[in-house]
Amino acid sequence: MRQTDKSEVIVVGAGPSGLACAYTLAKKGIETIVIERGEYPGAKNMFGGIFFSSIMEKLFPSFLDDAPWERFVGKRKFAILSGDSEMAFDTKPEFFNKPPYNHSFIAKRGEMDKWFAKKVEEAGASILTDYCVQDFLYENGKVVGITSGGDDDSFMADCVVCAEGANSILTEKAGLREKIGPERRSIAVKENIRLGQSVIEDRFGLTGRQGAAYEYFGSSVPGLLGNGFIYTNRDSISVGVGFSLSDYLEKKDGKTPNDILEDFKNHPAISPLVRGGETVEYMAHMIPSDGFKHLPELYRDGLLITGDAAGLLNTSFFHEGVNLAMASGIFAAETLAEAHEKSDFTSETLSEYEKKLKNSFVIKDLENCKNFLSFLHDHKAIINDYPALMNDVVVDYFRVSEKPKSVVKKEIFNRVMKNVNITQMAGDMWGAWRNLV
Amino acid sequence: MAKSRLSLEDKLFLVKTAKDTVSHIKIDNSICKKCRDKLCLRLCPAGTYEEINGKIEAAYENCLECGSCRVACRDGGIRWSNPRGGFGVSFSNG
Repeated sequence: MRQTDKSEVIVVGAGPSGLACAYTLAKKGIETIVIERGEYPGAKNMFGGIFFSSIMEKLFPSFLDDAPWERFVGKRKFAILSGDSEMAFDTKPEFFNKPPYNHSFIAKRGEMDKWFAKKVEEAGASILTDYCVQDFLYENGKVVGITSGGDDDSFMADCVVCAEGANSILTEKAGLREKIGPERRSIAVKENIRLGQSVIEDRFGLTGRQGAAYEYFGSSVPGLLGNGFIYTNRDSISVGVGFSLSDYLEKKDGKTPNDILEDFKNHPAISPLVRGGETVEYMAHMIPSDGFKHLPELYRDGLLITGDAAGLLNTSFFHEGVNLAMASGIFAAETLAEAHEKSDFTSETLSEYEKKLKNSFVIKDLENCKNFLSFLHDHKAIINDYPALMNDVVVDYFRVSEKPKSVVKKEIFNRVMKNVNITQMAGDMWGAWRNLV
Repeated sequence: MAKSRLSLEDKLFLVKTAKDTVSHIKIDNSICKKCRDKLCLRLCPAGTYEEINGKIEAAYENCLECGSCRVACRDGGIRWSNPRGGFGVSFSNG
């Protein structure tokens, strides 16, 4: 491509935040090109499996009828695994099971991002695939374009939006953050396992397009901050584990991420759910765990950072990523529309983007869970010891024997007193309420 | 109960990849030589890294492009960049 190729805005990355940004810009009549390194939008992307769609539905009111989602989340389960045991909270409220289905849909990024990208093109933006941006181009310190590395292989723009994702190489190169270390990222590995539609519906107790989202804590990822998951697609399931990179590196028990996934799949609570399935695909991806305290700088002259690249992911139990990413893309587009009007893309004008994020649920939710990961990291008893103890207590309580129940109760009480420091546990619980919920 | 475990090799066989002729992972063994942890050897979900005759080597064609090795390698022995446009993995079920 020649040096003369120019667009008003370049968006790097055709994921949820990049596409939401490009769609909003195109609707405002701003000339936009989305540059994607994958063969198609979604080819390099992976997520757990739940697409939180509230923002998407604002862009496309016909989402429910048109979008290629697999199943709506009609049923959720939160389980704690301990040794060979499982304890679970299972919920199937009516509210999840009628439109708009709590804006929660199980989806595949390969399908969803492709669909979204088509809508973006229809709105007037261009999408260029198979092009990997290696660096930004600068003029007097302002970002003025992108390059794939070759001398004559570049694109110029008034402003660049970097929606490159969790592996935020360009953001680091631009000096908006230091090189990320393992404490800033989690890793997830996932398999797509084909079971067939009727097996899935029978096995998970589902009807029609209803789907199940199961999340497993405790020994699903032994001693690590993270969890295992199963999400039901139409005729396959997504099975995976995700955990903090720094935790994993500290643990040093020689297990590879694939070993941890295989152990999870072979847990007695999981193996009946995956039994007989055919693994179709194996994938891996990083998840940002920057949180509120370690967000990168979000803009500089001629550049905005959105989505996972900006660490905009709710690291708490909610695991929301897609809707925060999309919201940030839309805020970036609105900021750029104002900048476009003024023909001013300096950091002063672009700082409006950060204000918009701060005034929205995006940064507010990140702030709300700002201590989530560090609290769990410093209070490992909450993910290791207490779940195991709780499991033992339940087992003892329901154990059938001729022992009088009064004796059983006393033994349980003694067991708890022996295994935990009550003052410490009370403190941990209070801390958990304040920092985790 | 008999455990059925799928080997990593079998799983990698399922991944659709356009192999480049040049590696997107560069190893500086003068740095790796001094690294005690060699975290890359167990961290990579694709088992890309191997130590052969005291040197770290990367089977870059197996890379799933998660970037964890880049993040975990503090000393900079691994220089990881995204594969060139048109190369690397294409996930369908991400």
